[in-house]
Amino acid sequence: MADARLYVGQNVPRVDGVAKVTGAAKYLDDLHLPDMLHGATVRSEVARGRLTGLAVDPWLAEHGVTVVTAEDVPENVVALIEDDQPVLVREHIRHRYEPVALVACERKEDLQRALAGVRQTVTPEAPVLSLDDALRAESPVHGPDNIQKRYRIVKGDVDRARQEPGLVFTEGTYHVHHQEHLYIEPQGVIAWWDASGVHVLGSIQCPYYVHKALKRALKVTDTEAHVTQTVTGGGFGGKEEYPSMIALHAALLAKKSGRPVKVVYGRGEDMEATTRRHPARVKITSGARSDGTLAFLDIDVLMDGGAYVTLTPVVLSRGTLHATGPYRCPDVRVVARALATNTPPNGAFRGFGAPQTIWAIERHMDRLADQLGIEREALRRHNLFVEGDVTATGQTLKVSVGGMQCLDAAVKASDYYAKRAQYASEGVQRAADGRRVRRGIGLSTFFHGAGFTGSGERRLKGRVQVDLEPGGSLRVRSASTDIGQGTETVFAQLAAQAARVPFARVAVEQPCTTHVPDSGPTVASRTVMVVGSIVELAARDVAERVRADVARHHAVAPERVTHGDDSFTGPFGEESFAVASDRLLGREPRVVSLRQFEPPADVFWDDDTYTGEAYPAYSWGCDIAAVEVDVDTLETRVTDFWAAQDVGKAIHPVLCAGQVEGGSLQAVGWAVSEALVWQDGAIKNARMTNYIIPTSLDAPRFHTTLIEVPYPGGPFGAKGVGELPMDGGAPAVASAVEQATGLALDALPLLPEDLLRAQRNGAPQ
Amino acid sequence: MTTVTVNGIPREVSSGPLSRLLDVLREELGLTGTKEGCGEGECGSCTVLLDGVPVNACLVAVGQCDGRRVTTVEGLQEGPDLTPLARCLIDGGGAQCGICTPGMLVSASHLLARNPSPDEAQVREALAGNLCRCTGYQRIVDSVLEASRLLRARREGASP
Amino acid sequence: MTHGYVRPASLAEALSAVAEGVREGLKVTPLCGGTDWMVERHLAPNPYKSPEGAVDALPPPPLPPPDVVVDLSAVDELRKVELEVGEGGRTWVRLGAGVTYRTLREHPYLVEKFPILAAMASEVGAVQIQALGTLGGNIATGSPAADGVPVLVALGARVRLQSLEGAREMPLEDYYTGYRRSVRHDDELLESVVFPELEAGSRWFWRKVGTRRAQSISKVALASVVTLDGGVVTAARLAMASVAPTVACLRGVRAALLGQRPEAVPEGALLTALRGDIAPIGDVRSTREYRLHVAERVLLRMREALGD
Repeated sequence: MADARLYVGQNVPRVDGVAKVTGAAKYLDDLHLPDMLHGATVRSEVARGRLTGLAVDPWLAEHGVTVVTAEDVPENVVALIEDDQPVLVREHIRHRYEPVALVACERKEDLQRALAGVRQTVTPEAPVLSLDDALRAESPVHGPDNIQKRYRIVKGDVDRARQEPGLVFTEGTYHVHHQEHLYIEPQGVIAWWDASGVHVLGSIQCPYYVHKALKRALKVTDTEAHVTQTVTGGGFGGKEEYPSMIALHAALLAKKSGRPVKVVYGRGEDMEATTRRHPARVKITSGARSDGTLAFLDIDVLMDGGAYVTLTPVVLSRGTLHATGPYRCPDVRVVARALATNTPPNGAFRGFGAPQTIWAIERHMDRLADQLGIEREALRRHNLFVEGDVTATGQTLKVSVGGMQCLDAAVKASDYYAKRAQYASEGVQRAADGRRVRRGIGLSTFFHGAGFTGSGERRLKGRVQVDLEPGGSLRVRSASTDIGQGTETVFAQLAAQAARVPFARVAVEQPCTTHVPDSGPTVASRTVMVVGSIVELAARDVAERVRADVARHHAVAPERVTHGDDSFTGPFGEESFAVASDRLLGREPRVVSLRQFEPPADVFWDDDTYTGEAYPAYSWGCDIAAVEVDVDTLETRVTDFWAAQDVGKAIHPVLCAGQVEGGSLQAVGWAVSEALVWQDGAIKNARMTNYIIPTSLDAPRFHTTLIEVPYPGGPFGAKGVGELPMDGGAPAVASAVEQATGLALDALPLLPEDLLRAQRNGAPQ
Repeated sequence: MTTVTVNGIPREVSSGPLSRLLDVLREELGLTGTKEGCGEGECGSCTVLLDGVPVNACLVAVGQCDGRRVTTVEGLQEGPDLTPLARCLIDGGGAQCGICTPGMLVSASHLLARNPSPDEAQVREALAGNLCRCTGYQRIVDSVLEASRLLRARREGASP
Repeated sequence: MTHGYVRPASLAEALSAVAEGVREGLKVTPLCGGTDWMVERHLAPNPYKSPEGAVDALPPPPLPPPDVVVDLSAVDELRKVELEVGEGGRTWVRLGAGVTYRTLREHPYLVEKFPILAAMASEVGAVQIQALGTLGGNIATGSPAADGVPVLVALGARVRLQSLEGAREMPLEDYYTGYRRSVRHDDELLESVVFPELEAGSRWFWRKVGTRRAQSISKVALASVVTLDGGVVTAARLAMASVAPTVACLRGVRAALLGQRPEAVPEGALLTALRGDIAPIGDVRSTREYRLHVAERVLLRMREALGD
């Protein structure tokens, strides 16, 4: 390699690796502060009702238990989008697990006694528990009609397009179910107060969301709220908005008790009370010409937002914008609504609305292909977006359109056509363990917008600061959290490469709102592409400052100073970056660059009409799943999974492929084994024993291909990868299951019980 | 009083005999490398070796450990350098959020101690009691296989 | 909750501890591997909470009296694997109640003579649970989803219950009286199980259909040992998990098979017999419909395997 200090594209050791493999990494529950109390939450016991009384057992006062109720909250709202969710219920209970009161005790062992000592008097009301109930809006949970948000995308004229003679019409309704994040580290925070205000330490994806919530509910100022992320054991969106709630609870208990308070959820409480993926029902009507060309798409999206609005408008937006899939279509109408129900608020989860609508369009493409007698892969290839195509919002795809490369790579790697033909002709097989199985293979193609939608990034103005430190070191200050995906490592790579300093001399500051600027939340596949680009800018800035100072010191024109690897050369000879920067720091004690995201100038987006450049760039993917379905038990085993995904540039290929594989397995689990069991608004299987995520024996062998079609707006060409892998797995598996069983299922999940029901009901073959 | 040899050091435990070994390790002995993910023997984050055999520390009453040996992730290190297994997990992308990693290391180290040349299926079986939600397992499995190769090479190099 | 706790070092001490607890009116809990009990204890519903519907009733109900846990982990006798000579000179093997699944997978004699035990054990939880969980615990807990119990029933195991007063043995088939209820008296410990080596011409079958491939509780599991002589069934024991309030001994199916060539038994007759033997329900893990379907399919596969 010409440049020995190229870090981008290299698999450097992840910076938090040693701490994690030695057990030294301190997660929230590993921390203990002096005099700390343990807090817990009293929750509602009905899905809907009026809280008319709270009685507190004298035992609590006698034993010094701190009790917090709605009366203790300065402003009873968890600030987010609509501010409709209270920190603690005052009167109206809107779901089964709402926080009603809080208790804190010296000893963890006393928490159950304390919790039982707060008694609620409740008048139950009839809950709204399904999308159909919500549509009827007989006793609305939200507004007059239960509608939390609606969007409409119109391109061309669907009604006119329908008139074209000879079109083949296809109609289908597709369902997806809830999904639990099931990060292995449950949610938890520690809060305390001191002269500088309120402090929160926790397992948190978005420290500034918590900061905002603290300011509002506790009526503290910007500088009086301090939120720090601890090492976080997975998030996947689950620690995006919910930590505001648990942080407020701990802070309220800490305020009232005057002591630090730790609140850590048990697994059951975490599964019940925190957010999960929105269920959805998507109806698609399409018209296509006999050669497979899509003429129009008419799509109706319904999502279940749960009891409060939380992030539902944004989730619905992303679902709406991905509803057509990565397919060219001249006339499109998408109507999307999110409805309120008396279930815990659904929230951010990897993919953020897109996996729901992509499930629908991908299943629909399979239907359409079968109806037209066109191979499923060929139909996709025929309609797949290529450079120059125009999306449903009118965005012309100008650069970094890698869908076709992904399709080619995955089809080739999997030998898709040979397998598809073989599985179609072969009979029942004996699997390695002797079971009788039928095999199948299926594919999906998809795209995922990276970064915030439309003008989001422009409005947000994410910021990053890079400091020059002694010895030619850099410190990156950003609010983007590493929740396992490897942000710290990748940011250090970007800064090292941009400033041409050794990787080991870049430190990434622990995200704390007091010490890092607001880079925006760690969401939306924006960390590398958007925040990473600011890291790159700021690091370059700092290096430029050093270079300018070298020129000044040696009294030469700046352009005569060449910045090489960790050094500068010029007429004066060679000087190390460290020497030069220490000299600069001697003159100027603070050498920092605080940069803000600068969106490309040509980006246009209209929030009112939902037209324009929905995302600065899209990542692309093709997933192919091979399955064996047991002919006796209808158990599906995904044996192999080929993922080819266009990420622009893999800054760290191992971490990047890790995102692809981990996200894909979440999609596989969502499809074949994960399911929540509800009864009267309560979850009956809130345990890891009964909510079935894949083990190492259930997981397929992954064959991952990273495609790199660079996006000039991202750092070194990189786009987002966080969410994309969640999008295509479920439909690819369903397509494969369909080949194996003849069952064309339009609803997730595909549990053996669901396949049996379909078999018995004579689902279309 | 219960006496347990933890990572080679005899420790007197004052927690009651029915306390979970997990709580004793984390709260009384300060060994927080052992994690709790579910409290019901499902996720494997609390895997430790009891007399050299992997068990879920959340399912063991500390009284049952009286006079026995417990090894936690902190006790797997053999010196200042990372073990080949730990190194491979970092380099191979086998650790993401890291919360399952200590348990994975304990299970995998037990496998490699008993079976220096496992195949992929054996690795997957040995890790089936350790749930991971980040990686899709492939990189963990591959890291363990790579570590087994390194360990074999080291052993063969040591004995001419 | 507070618990008394003793950790006897021998069976005799354990029996005394149990007897003493019972005499004092305590609830005695023998603790073996702990894989069920530790979870139940940790995830138990809040014991201080009023029953549903009485949310404003003060003060909370009194707690149940503390019980005593007799930890059997130091009783070496319970880990024995011993051979006995039974009637007709047949070899029987006696396994102490504390024998773990791990032992079933590793003990050379057991692995050679009873591959059905190893096959079953390898599908219990994962290695961590296999190291802790015991046959005695599996039997005593009495879950209808037990993996070990159906296999032991298929092997024709007898259970030995022992107290200070003496010991008694009975077929495991007769041990359960209802959902998590058995004939064991409070002062008795489940000491061991004993079962014969397979007769010549015996075929074993084990199939667990669970929620996933490891860390899984069965939706349906079938264990059987069927002896054939000249293609005719001369003996058969079959048991199914997760299809009834207790592990179901398929006596009707046995009757349908005995004296017949398996392939000659009409499918309808076999399945009718099965439906008489089981009563599956729907719960968080599966549906009644699915359990019935899978029970039937697995039974037919078992019959098919007899012809292999």
